[in-house]
Amino acid sequence: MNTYEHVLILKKFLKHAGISENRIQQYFCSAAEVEKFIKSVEDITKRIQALPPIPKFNPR
Amino acid sequence: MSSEENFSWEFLKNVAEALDSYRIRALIDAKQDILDVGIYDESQYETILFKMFDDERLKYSLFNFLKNNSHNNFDVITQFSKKNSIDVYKILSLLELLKNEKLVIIEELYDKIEGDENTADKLIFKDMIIKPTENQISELKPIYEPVKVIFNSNNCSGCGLCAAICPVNCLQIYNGLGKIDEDKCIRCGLCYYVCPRTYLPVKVLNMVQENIAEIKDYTKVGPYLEAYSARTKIKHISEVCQDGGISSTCIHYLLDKNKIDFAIGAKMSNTLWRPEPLLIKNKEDIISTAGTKYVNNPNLQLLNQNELKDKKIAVVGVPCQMQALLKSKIYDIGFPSINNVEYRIGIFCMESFSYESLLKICEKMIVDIKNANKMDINKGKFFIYTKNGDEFNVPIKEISHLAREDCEICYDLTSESADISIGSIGSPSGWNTVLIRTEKGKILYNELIKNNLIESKSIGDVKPGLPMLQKIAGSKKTKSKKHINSKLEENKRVPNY
Repeated sequence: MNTYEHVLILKKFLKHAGISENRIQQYFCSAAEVEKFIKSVEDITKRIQALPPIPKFNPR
Repeated sequence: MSSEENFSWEFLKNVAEALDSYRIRALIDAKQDILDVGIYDESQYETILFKMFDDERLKYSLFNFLKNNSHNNFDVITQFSKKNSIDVYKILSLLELLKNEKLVIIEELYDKIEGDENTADKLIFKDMIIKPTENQISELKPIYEPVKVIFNSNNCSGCGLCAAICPVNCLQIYNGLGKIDEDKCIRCGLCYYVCPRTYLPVKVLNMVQENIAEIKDYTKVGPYLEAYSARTKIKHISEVCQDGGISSTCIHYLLDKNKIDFAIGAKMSNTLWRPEPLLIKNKEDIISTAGTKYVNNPNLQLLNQNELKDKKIAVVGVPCQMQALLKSKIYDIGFPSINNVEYRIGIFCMESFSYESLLKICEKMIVDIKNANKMDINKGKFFIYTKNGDEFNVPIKEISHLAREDCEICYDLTSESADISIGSIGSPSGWNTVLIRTEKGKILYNELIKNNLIESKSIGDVKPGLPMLQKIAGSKKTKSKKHINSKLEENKRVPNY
């Protein structure tokens, strides 16, 4: 199983557990694809911002 | 966008722990192998994966819950079960897993039963003290070895369930011996999970059975609702059956009324007296499965057949097979074929033999096995009736050393995990003793009477009756305990009951 498939199945797991699958996304950008890299970062930031915040860690 | 309710830090932590679990990872890594073999298609694979994921998540949340509590007892378990609205027995089965993974230590306390000295033998869940250990979930090592360890230590009962559920089909049971193809094995541990001889939470099994049982005879014949003595009224069954023909009549009725699509039983193969599993599809097949076979037979192996998909099944089998079915039902790992088992029809079993031992027994009695027409164990003797009408017998004591080694550690004579248990002990010849254990079994039995298929008497009205059955069942339990203790002394592997 390659990384792409792992990410796909992780998305399914998150969805199954009731967590938005938008929290994970895989992009492929080579060193020359600056534009694509910037777009990817913007894309994931937008997705995460649309989601409710993750609760803070409070160790008991 | 999916809603993110119930979202707490603990929840997220549990999800991460479950995803990191070696059991989940083994299944994920072997996805392509599993799909290539073709036993499970993609959607079935995902059902199993997600079901296991839910179980793991629940298990680790139970562990964290216990860790945050200072004093853990049975009430805490009930509390957790209410909080998550999940049955208590499911939580207890998960607790058993935690115990196996050495994450918790359980000290069980038994309630005293008045007028009985063997209180420790009374398997009643009254209370327990649960102590989480210092072990970390992230440091867990896989405990689920392939069932090879069971084969090698002569603990395998040959029920065949592991072969049925193996996602890559690398297990084979033949003649009571298991074989594993280690190149194919993906080390998912599913076989370890369903095997009745790796670990078996007997108390949880009893608890599932007992919730409606009126009589809780733990030390002898297990929890049951009602006991009867019965024989069939169907003529062509009574001509071929071993004693009362009740198990054949059950299957006859269930198939007749379309309550099941298939049944699984044992028929004689081309080699005489070597049984093989048979998928019973019609009434003619019932006749070929009638009669007791004393050679072990991996009935449950048939449960992986693709034609069983979305069909209702009844299984006729020996106690270890019923244990395996009930165990996998409690752990409920989403195997399509196991979920389809509607009725568990258990038969009484003292011990079974390998085909080779049976040949030796015949040799001892100077009978050619080809001439044998019927075999029977009765009044402490093994009988062979030949086709010419001759009768040969040998005392059980002289041949019991020939029985399968794993039968010595089995505690169960009367199929305590079945819906309805049927056997001959306790009833006069030509009659069956019937123990009804669950509501399903009760309905089935009442239907049989209503449809005038069987003759039924209360067990109290027949000789030798229930005391005889209790005595023999009790002696099997004592014997099994003795064998387990002696095996433990020799540092050999024994099932974790």
